[in-house]
Amino acid sequence: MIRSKALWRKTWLALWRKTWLESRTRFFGALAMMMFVAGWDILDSAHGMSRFDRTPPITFTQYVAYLFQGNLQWVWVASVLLLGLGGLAREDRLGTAQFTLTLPFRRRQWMQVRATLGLLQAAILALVPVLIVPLAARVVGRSYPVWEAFKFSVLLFAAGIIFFFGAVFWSSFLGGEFSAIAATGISALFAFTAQDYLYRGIPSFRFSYFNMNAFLGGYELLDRATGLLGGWPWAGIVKSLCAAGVLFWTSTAIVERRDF
Amino acid sequence: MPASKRPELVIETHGLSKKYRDTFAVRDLDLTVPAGSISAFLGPNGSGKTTTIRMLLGLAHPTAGSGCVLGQAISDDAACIQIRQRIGYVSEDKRLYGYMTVKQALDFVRPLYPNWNRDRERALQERFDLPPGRKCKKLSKGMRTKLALVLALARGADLLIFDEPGEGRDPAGTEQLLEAIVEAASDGATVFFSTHQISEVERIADHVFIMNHGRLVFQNAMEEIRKNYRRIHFSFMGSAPANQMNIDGVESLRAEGHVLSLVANGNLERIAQLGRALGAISVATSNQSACGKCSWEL
Repeated sequence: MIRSKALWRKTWLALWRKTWLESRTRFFGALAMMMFVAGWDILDSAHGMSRFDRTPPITFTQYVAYLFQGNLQWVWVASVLLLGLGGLAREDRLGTAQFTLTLPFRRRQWMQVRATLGLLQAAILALVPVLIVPLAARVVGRSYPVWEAFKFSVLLFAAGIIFFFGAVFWSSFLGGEFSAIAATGISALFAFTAQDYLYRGIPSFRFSYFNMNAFLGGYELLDRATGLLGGWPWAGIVKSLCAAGVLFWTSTAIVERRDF
Repeated sequence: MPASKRPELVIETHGLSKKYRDTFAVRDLDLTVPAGSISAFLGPNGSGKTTTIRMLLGLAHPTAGSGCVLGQAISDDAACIQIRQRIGYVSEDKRLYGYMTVKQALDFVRPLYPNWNRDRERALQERFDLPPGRKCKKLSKGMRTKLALVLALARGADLLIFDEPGEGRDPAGTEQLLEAIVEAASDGATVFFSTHQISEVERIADHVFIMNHGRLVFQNAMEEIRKNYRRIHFSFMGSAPANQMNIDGVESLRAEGHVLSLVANGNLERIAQLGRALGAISVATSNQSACGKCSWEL
């Protein structure tokens, strides 16, 4: 029993190790990009804020809210889409799936480790602005509350994790170098632009629910005067997490059933 | 033979089939591989060898039939984990993770196998001259095969499955490979390998299985083949009358111009007489008969 427990632990560790080695280049690339964008946009805030032609001029907190609805959101979504790519269908195309799947693991275990590590990496990426934004704000002589940055980051992660699982879903049956990237990119683009197209089609209907851009950036909860988040879109977050769960369950079922 | 006296079987399939759309890749396969044997799995490309191996390893789901590997049902997901814990497998193209170094690949696989033999790992790594710091994607095909062999042979596996192990290897590399396989077998592992190389079969195999068009067309112990099968060549003045050689004992035959070659299982004297009666001007019986059957089926 002790031996089997030890083996069980070693098996999971090996899986984590492999999944980490597989994804670390993408993760570090995304981390660097996230740090650069968060840092640069704050260090360049004087120039950035001047581009908003408003009277009265926008405040620094409003500017940061725009960043969370713009650059930071785009980079984070693109990063988690990349992190969700790969997996057994890709390995099948590369010729390593036969080796992987003859090791003593269940396919479900591979999927669970991929998902868990991906979630951790996505969370770390979402938390980058919590550290960088207040620090960089100090450098340029401004201040931004860590808690406010944290709220935006949590919202970005909780509402946006569906994009990661969208990429996992496409990768469960598209193994080509570009096919999974193209499919995930197109679905993400659709998620961000669906509202516009639907609104043009049926202008009388309220389609704000489909606006992922506004949802991830907490647009509807934003206090326009202060640029701070006024609450949490719990219903939306729960729906997004449920959809992510369904995507993951479907992806696992596909991987378990397919032949390699 | 009574069931109690039967040798333990490490691979046993009954009516195992795999269908892709309208085509059977494997059909009604009844395969029995005895423990401790070195079994060669022969057949032309597309005959169903790799699909069979994939089903045995749980990579592909059978359409019909059943199979047991090391006493565990291949259709049982939990049992498949136990099967894989006792198996070493080297696939046809021997691809390994390009982003890992040789050392990382060994570090990844080692903890998964409780019977991992560290001394054998070191010995093989030294023998194969594998550079630990090199990324797998930078290894030549020969080196990749060597790494795949270390990963399979150091597991202390009860069953080793090789899919075309000699493919793309030079003669020296093939020699090393065969040595390693025989060594593993002498340590008690059962070896099951698919190949096109008759010379490999003749040198190391003690059981032969031949697939064609998804079916098992022949299986026998090498000793039996050596004892019972003979290759006979008839030369004729005109075209070889292949369609008139209908007689007991003829297992397969091939006509090429004036020469009719056949593999016979007994009844040699009568076959020779019939050949002469049909106008053969010379009859030659080959002593190198053991794999004649095999090579013809291919």
